[in-house]
Amino acid sequence: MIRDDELLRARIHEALDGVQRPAPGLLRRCVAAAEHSSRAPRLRTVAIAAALAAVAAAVVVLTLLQHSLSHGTPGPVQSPTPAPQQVLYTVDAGNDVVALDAQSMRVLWRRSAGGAAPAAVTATGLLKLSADERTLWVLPISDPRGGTALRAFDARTGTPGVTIALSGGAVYSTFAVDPRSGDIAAVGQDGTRILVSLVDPRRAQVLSTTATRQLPPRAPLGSDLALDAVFTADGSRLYYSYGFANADRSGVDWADVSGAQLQPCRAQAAGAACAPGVGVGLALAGTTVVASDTGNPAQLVTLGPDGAVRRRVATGLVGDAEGGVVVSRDGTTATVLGACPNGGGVVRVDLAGGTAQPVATPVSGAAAAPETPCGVRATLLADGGIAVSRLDTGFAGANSPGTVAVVDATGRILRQATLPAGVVDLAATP
Amino acid sequence: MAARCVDVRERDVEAFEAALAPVIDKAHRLATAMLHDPAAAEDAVQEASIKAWRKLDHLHEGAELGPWFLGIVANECRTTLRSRWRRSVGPLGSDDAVAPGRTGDVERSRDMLDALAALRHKDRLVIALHYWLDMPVEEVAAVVGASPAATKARLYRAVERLRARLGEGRP
Repeated sequence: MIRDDELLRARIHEALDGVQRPAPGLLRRCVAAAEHSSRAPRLRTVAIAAALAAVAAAVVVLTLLQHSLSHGTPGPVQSPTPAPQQVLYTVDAGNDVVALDAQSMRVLWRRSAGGAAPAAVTATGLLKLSADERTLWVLPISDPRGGTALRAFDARTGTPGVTIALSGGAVYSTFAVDPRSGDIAAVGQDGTRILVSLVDPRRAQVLSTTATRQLPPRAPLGSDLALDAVFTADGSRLYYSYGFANADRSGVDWADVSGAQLQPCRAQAAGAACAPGVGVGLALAGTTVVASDTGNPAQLVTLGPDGAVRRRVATGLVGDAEGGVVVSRDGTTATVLGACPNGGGVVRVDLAGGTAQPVATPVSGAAAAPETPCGVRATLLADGGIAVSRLDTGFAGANSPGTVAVVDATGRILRQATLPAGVVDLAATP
Repeated sequence: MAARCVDVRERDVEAFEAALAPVIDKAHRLATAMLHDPAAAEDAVQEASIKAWRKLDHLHEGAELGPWFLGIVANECRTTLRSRWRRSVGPLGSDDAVAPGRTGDVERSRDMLDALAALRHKDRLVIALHYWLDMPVEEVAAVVGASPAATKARLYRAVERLRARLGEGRP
């Protein structure tokens, strides 16, 4: 029974204290957002004028087209095809989500997805676009090992959308979006098992959670995490990588997806991955898995749908470290990044021929120089270049500035943006 | 303070930041109490900051920014909860909303959160301001834009409804 005001106050404090979380940097974000918004009225005026001009132009073009069609002759006017703006999205260890114009690196919008990460975190796949590119999904970090909820943002405006709490008792560190159904698979662990939660974002519901691998008992997890995940184009299979500290657990697993059911792959050794030792960088080229390994010398490995290794290509990058992998849209080449503490560098691999071509030479025996591209997370840009999150220590911290660099096909850093916290992941519109 | 208010109304970013600094923590706590979702609370405060910045002209000369800003945060929280797109399963009733603790504490906190979540917005607002932000009735009145007497009456009724939700009557 609540007998007086002070008791009621104590109970309310007790209940809400359990919900309240610190929000470091909130004042800075609020002021920055307010200041940024002050440009909006002018932009709105320009936008309205531009829209009216566009409507007028469209009327003229349609009239001319109708005229030409009615006379059976080619029209004198061709519709212009302006280059669409490519947007680069980042999430940092402060759990800030930022949209940048990939050309100018200008901030388009910035939103908070949660409080800052409690410690330096490993860069994993925490940011993905929906197949229609309208929704940006983020897995905010609430624990050094990951997060417990998925958050949606309108990719164009940054307007926050649905928050989906993932199954209790586990921490999730990466996810993938099914390009066909839009369902999401979040991959995490609960201390003894790797878990995959299938989520229906339209109903904001967890459809199922499946334990896909039992980890070795009574052994510390170390720094092992689910690192990245990707669906096949038809959504029938989910690949995900796990590692990177303990070689006996690292590797790629997969699960066949049927509705809300998952059929995990079977490993040859208990507690091991189905494709052991690979997968810090993970991508698909059609049905072929393309993954970097953590061995020395560093290799790029391709796997068939049966999990068998098809090819190993020595990259020339310094091994024993994680590195990112990006596959070209036509699936013919893979770009492999060296980790910043291990000298960085970029190598392009012809997937059909199995040859590696150095694009940016790694620094020998030292950390990557400022002009040397490096990093773990990378994304493909429209012009064939890549955007990379540069993490000089290999980890992203909330209190250390982060850098996003745009690297062209020759390995040259074209432009960079500095963000208040280390960038954990990034994605770009095609 | 009056000079600072003038600066703020003239859209001086540094003055705005200085005026916002003392109230930002309260604003975040208020939003958390209204939404039971720390991340959504941050979003609400951020949105409220944008609206406050755009509506600085509405701030009467000499008026304090704090109560006015908390009012905007409260409105933003109501908008968030009304939003059709925001079908969050996290806040207001989620099992994950309460930090782990002793079972009895957790159940009691869960009951309280459920009871608060079930209240109408204006009831939850006055309770959050008075019992969670520990603001006196006069300051609560300044936020909700009512007289202290009316606010006291509203607070009394809100507490009665909260007790009823908790299954507790007056002793």
